[in-house]
Amino acid sequence: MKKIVVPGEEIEDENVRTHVYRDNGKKYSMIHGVLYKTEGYSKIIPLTHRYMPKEGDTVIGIVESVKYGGCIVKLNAPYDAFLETREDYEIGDVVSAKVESVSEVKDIKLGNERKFHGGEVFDIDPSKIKRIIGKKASMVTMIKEKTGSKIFVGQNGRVWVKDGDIEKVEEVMRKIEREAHETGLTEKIENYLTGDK
Amino acid sequence: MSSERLIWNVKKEGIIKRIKEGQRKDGRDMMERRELKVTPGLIETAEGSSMVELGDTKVIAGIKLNIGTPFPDQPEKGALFTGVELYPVASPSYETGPPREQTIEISRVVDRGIRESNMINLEELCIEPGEKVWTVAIDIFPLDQDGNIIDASAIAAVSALINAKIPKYEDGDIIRGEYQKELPVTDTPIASTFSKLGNEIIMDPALEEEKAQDGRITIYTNDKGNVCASQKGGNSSFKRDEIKNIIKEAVKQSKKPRKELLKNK
Amino acid sequence: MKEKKLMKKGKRLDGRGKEDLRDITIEAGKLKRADGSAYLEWGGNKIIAAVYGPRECFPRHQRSPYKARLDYYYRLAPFSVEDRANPKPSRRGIEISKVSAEALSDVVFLEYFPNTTIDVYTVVLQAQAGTRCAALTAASVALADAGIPMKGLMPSCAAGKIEGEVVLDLSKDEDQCGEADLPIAYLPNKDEITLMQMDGDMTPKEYEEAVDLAVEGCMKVYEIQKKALKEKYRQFNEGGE
Repeated sequence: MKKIVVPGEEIEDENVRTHVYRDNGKKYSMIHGVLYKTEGYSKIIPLTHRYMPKEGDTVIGIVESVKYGGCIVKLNAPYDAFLETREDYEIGDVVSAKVESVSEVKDIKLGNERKFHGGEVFDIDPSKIKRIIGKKASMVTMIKEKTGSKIFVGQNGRVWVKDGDIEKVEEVMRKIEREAHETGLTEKIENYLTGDK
Repeated sequence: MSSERLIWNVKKEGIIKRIKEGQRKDGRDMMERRELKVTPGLIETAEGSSMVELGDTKVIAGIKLNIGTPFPDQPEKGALFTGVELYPVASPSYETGPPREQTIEISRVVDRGIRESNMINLEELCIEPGEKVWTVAIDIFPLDQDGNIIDASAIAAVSALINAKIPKYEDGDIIRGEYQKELPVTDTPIASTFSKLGNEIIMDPALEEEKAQDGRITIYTNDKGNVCASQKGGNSSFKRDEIKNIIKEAVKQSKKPRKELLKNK
Repeated sequence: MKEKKLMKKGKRLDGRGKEDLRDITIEAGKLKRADGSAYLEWGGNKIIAAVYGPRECFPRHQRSPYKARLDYYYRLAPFSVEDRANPKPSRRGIEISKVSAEALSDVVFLEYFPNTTIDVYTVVLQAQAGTRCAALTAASVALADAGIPMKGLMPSCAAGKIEGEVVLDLSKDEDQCGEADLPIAYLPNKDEITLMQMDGDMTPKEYEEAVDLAVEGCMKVYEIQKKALKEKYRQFNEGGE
């Protein structure tokens, strides 16, 4: 079963543990999302949200400024991150990296970085990343095959694309973003990619 | 630098490369305006109003008429004022506070096209020479900035004027909500903005194209197909041949929106 | 004040009963650039609300390491009223913005986003009495549309007094000729009032009655807010998988 919930809506389902708050013995949704319910397992997934860096996430960032011992990286999040590195970076360089730590006041440290050479980036709604990647990466693999592009999807909702039909990649990902909650999405996207070529 | 600005810089090269190959993101021709949707009369508190959608760019313009004194050098003419407000509903890069130079430039460009085309017969707005005239305030409010706010603002302003009415005026009082006649409109000036990216020129830039542009030119044409105002902006220069071509396209591409605006009259 | 008959046989000039709201429609997610948005029509009021954030907070000295800062801007478009409104922020607008920001700050989980700001911009495109309640109602939908965690949607509505009777949601004529106006904002699931202003003259009993009626009004507005957010995804297949 699935159902749209709004902030403040009472959630009676015992199993929902995230995106809810408790008050006076009752449980309420704190976001605009979808409540999914299967046997013994229920959860609320936000319809949209801002990316908040989490330890262990793999993200794509753009170098905003170069400092002593590293650089400041923009992440499509309300916070900048610091990448400690001895490599030479320039403003505007695109990197993928792992979020190594997030402090209480949201000081974010990145590591394990890899620099991309060339290509383009765009941002999509981070709540749709799971659909864009697909089960066992099936969706993104299909997009790579049909467009001939190299693609890397960061958990912060930022996508890097190089070669092939870059415009098509963005177009199809925007379509997934819009239609993420519809059924038969994979099939629809496959038809879309083949039908247009 | 904002995250968005950094992304646009990364994308710029690709956008220019594709334009060179004759491809625009939304499949448009180089010299093609986005789809234009005009909704006049949305605001009942205004004497005239119009909402214009140029692709995903949305602008609303409203006209207010008041009684004022004429300028001393034009005692028999009504007065005209154009203001644009880049209020932050429309874009993350707009800010609250006093108008900045970008806001003032857009206001003045829109104003020039309206004024120089003589689209409003200002003499007909005189009530008592030297004493009392109608003043026309055009207020423009972008709601969604997805590129080319100038053209959307200019078209919204002209559409709102075309649909504006003069309120009744009796014994020194304006009777709001009751009208004596339509605003005397004699022309339909249309603004067309062109962007230069590298060496390529495109019409009506969408947001990403605008962010990648090196320079822009706005050409206002009137009903006769003459140019009545223009403005070059941005750091890139233009060749004379490029300007000739831009003017030719501006004249040609203004016919359709002009028809659209007059349709709703 | 002009002499005017505002009530006839228990009906108001626009045909409403004492406890009726004007017609309200809300559409969520109208704008592309904003992180969340809503367009609302309420009687003759037309309002756009846009939310940006949480985003980096500038200037830096306004940052709090404990929570996000929520800023609210209430703005009348110059053409929204009969006599053109000056584009400069008015004292009235600044006051409304302040109390509205305070009301929303109690409802949004600001502590999740330290050092950031959440900006809520509302524009009244056409004003016909009750704009602060209408703007706040739209703003609350826009915040939910932006995916911002909240205790709940926050409807807002006014009750007032005309010709000695307590009525819901004053129209423009009633606002101008009535005896009192009492706008509130309300958090339904906690049964708490988050904004309250009043001007005019009421007995303590009438005041109490007006608060109760305004809360009832808020509950009706709340249903319309919920519907707007669910409508945005109406193509979404509810029920079975």
